[in-house]
Amino acid sequence: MAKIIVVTSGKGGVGKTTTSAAIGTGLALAGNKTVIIDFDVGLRNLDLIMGCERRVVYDFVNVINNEANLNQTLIKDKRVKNLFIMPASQTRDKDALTMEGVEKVLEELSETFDFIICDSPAGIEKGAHMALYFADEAIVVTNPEVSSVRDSDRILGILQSKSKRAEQGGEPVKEHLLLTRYNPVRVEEGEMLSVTDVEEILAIPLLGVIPESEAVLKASNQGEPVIHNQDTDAGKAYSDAVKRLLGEEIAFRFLDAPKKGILKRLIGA
Amino acid sequence: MNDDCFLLKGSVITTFILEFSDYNAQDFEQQLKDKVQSSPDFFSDTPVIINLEKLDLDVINVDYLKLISICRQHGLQTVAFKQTPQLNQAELKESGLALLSQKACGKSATTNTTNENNITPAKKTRLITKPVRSGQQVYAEGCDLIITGSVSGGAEVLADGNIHIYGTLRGRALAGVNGDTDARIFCSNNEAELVSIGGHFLLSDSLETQVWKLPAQFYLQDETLHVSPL
Repeated sequence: MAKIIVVTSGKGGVGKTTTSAAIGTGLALAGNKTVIIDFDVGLRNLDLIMGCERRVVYDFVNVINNEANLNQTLIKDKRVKNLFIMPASQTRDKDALTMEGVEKVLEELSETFDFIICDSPAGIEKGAHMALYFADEAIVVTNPEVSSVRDSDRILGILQSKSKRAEQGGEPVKEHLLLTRYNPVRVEEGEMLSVTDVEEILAIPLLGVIPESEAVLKASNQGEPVIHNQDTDAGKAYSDAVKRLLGEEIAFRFLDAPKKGILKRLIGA
Repeated sequence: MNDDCFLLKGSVITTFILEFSDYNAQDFEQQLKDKVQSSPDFFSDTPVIINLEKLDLDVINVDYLKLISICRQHGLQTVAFKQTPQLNQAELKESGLALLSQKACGKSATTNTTNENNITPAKKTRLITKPVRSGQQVYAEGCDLIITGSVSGGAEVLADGNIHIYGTLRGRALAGVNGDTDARIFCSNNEAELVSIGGHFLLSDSLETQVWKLPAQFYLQDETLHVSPL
């Protein structure tokens, strides 16, 4: 049985797809057979971030409508074995998804995969609800600013009340907090919420803190998940998050602003 | 305005049922006397309903008037008989007491007469052990509300009674929503968006200047909502 993990946030543009791509890749690199599903029907992005946009033939909606089978639809990643991408349809909208259809696809994927990553669309409407409904675990992606934190809080409430596990009274969905675009310098200057502030408000365990990094934008544009670039802080931070997701205990990095050397202080840089 | 000078209202009243397992006037009087001496306050004009259903009234002769007078002598106010098939209707009428149907009496709990705590059972408080998230609403109908976690911004907690929040209150808390002006709100960290008791409310604008980010309680006094440190 696969573990189904939803990557969600409520708010848009906080890094859900970047995170889905990085975490999915990290899990596959660790030897787990992993599939990442793009639930953002109509606003397909995952294929771009994964660099497989030219190989999309069939999509998630085709599978739900029995117009294609899984083998035809799944795109095998060129860099990592064990990693597959299920693209969303760009020409349809969220109403093309049905609960029964999604359940059927997830059940079929569960038979052969270890991890299913559901890349949720923004919002709290149908698309986001479908993406989180069948989840065993949830990665809540949050930026260190108040509106993102509030939206994450809202989505946590929905996970606790409207997921399959909540409705059927099973064990609650396991929640993880992933803080992205973290800039310790701006936190020290009081422009950004600190890790502690966000943890206090959301009250769920911290999975990782991804520092704000130019490498993330560059990686997205090149269609190569940032986790492949282990020279960058963001890449390392995503690797740490994957290890924590797999149960390892690792100290958090990149939480403090780099200390200025005596020379820099003198120059005032 | 209504021209009627009275209103007929339904109500549920907790009383005691005097249930006999055996009866003779002398023994009853002696036992009642002992009971009353053990807790005299308890038996000052306590209303009771007489239940004879466990007695075989064809064999045991009960003088209703005598029974009632013994009760009254010792401070019990007999108000009615519980209906049983064997009751003597003529004597019943003479006694002037009401007759309560089996249904009206409902289930009775066996009460140790020296335990006064059972008179009005408290309504169970609603307990929430998870954080109340943005967009969620919790209402404790007809009772108090206890929240062991925090109430997030954009969340709303309401109760007809008091509200206790052991985490941080960042959202809205409304106590005494059906008009109870004695209700209070307690929280161990006050960062509330809005606090209301019995319809009187305060917004965070005015809250931020008083007991902000500290343990606080809210209560109504002279139709004004007050905040004080806990």
